[in-house]
Amino acid sequence: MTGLSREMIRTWQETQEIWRDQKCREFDSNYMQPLFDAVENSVSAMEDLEKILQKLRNDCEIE
Amino acid sequence: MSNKANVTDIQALEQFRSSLVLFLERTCMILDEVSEEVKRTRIWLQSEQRMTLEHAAKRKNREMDALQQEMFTARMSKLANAKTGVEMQINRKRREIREVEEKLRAVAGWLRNFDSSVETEARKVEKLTHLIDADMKKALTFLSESIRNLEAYTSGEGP
Repeated sequence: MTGLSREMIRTWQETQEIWRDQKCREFDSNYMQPLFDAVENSVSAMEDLEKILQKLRNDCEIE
Repeated sequence: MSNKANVTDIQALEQFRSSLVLFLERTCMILDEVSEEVKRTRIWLQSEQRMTLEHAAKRKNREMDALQQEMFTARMSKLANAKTGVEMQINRKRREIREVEEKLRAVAGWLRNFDSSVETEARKVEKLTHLIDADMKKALTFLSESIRNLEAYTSGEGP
């Protein structure tokens, strides 16, 4: 998801170079920045979740 | 700040909208997969893994009974070498049984704390799902309206 997000950030930056009015700024602050923040938090939570699930499997599986 | 439209390429904005739709679809697929993984893990603990360990514990206890019977026979026949070999097997089996019992306790512990550990972290991941559900439909509508307004503006129909 990090790769997808980076690609989306790049696409949005390129779009901002050609869409430069008040609506664009509004769209950025209301939607895009909250989306990117939420994606970043979600990726971090996914990494933590994966560590928890890995520990769970190690604790519960027999060799 | 200027309110004047300054888009040189409306097509690029439409392409951005398509990219955003694709990004949201792919992100939702990943989030769904994470959610499914959490559900599968809970079921795995509740049924499959608990049953696997319970069967393993029963089997190893049966094997231990057989070894103890063998040990008894070896003692009766005073076969020292046989006795030592069986003793080693009994010790190994005892360790295996202890390990399975520990795993069973771990399964019970993880199930008891599943909500506070796994689900708590999963809920942090799901915040993105809520944001997408709640706000991104509005974002796409906003974009469509902006594209329409800009098209009207550039064709001279706008304000």
